Amino acid sequence: MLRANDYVIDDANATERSQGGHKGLVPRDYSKHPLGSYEGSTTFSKLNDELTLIPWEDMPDAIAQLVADKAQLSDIRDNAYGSPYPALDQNGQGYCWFYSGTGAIMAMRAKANMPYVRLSAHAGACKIKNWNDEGGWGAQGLDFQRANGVPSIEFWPEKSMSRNYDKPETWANAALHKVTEGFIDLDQAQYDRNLSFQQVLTCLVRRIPVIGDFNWWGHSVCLLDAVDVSPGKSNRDPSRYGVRLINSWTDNWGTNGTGVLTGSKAIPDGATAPRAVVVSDL
Amino acid sequence: MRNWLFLLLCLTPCCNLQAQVSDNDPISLVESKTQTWKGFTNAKIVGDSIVFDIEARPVFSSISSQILLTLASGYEVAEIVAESLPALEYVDLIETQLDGKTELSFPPDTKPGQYRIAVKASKKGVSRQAIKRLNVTIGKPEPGPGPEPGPTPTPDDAPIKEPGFRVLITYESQIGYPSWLSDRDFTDYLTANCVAGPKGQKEWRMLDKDAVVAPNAGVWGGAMDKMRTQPVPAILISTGKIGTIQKLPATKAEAIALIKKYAEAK
Repeated sequence: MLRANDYVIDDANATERSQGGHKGLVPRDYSKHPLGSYEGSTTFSKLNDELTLIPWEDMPDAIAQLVADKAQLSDIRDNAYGSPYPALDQNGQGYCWFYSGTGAIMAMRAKANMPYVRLSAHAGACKIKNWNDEGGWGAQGLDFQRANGVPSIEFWPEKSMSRNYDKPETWANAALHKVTEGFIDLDQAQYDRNLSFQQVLTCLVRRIPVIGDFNWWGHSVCLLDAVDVSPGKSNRDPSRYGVRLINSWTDNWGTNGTGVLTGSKAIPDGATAPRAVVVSDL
Repeated sequence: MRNWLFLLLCLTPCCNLQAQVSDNDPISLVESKTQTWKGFTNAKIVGDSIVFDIEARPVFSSISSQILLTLASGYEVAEIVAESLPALEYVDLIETQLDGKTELSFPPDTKPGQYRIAVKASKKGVSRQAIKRLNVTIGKPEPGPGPEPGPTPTPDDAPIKEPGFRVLITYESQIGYPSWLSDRDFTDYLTANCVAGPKGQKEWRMLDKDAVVAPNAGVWGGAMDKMRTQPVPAILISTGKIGTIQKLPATKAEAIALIKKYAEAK
């Protein structure tokens, strides 16, 4: 069920409600990046074998149970540190694709009850794009987050584009906030890594955040919850379900930084699900 | 003064080396370990003889891994990648051919730690490449072949010696965890009863059983070492004086009852 104060983005109001901040998801330019130009990795495979799906028939009950028990990732965001930890702020730059994965790392830390650490997504985005304000896609950010992590804002001040912070101690700290496991279709090129909508919902029901790229929005965000937005529809109808996200446009956007995508707007064009991070207290 | 140097080399195949491959599962990676012990503790020289008393134990020297790679008929190796965890730094493995099979081993100067090996293989006429992964621990001492094992922890030994009430729950994130683990009332109960850590966060954690623990993670590295061999989901409870490591109870009520038993004794 939707919450009374949910900020809903559906097929009718998407143009109006999806505005308000900068994004950064770029459509693939096949002239620059032709098919085959991005390699996958050998470390994960057989995604469908590894990710046991929650059957469509069971999906509404599974979601309802989490709602009743206040056990969704958005509940964890609200409660893990006494009050909701603030949404990230990409500062009007096109780095959403790195902020979405950073938001996922923070959500997983909260789920594990690790101490709160605010992470600086600008660090990795600057490194990947050589300090240019350029778009990307979620899996690109996640590959960096798997390899290098994300430093805290103590080591790379939030929103900073300064090269002065690109130093060994920054990346030593970033290594404390790496992704170590995930449902990531690494057999595919970064551009083409995706999860089916049932896989996305399965991850969210299991409290695994999903990095979702949405071409209609030109934006990449961190998905937190599966939402049963139209209980009157068939269990097997994907349009019955929506996804609650935490944006990187500060708490001033939507409902305390979150919103719910429904209808066709909820189906990501790219999706990866980091499910384990390094355990650290700093 | 006479110096006595003696080596005990013990080859310890840690698993069955029979590789089974098929077109459905065309890659086999089987690890065996070689452990080396050098000298003994409590050795005494009596006359011209070396004498060991009943307390003597071999001194662990090193451990190395060999991984036997076997492919199904028609498959060829496309790529072999070894990388450290969590740094994901590449390691060049040493490849040795043995009777049509390949043995992979780590260079002698490999740093101790966890590594992940991935082998990709392909076959003509099969569009999708096959991939097999294997996690390997390098340099971590295994229990030596001492004359007698050390004391076995009893359920009421404290798994974490530091004072304070702590709870650790491990699960396998690939297959999910009991839905009630993140229930607000359950986590509130843990928060109300556990000691505060150095940064103020209450000292309970819920972690993937394979989670990589950073050195700065306080008591959790040692605690996770004790939990890694437990079937998941598992629970560790410690008051600093007593505690338990066991299978996670099936229900939230049973889990709270178990935790309460120790919380009241803290």
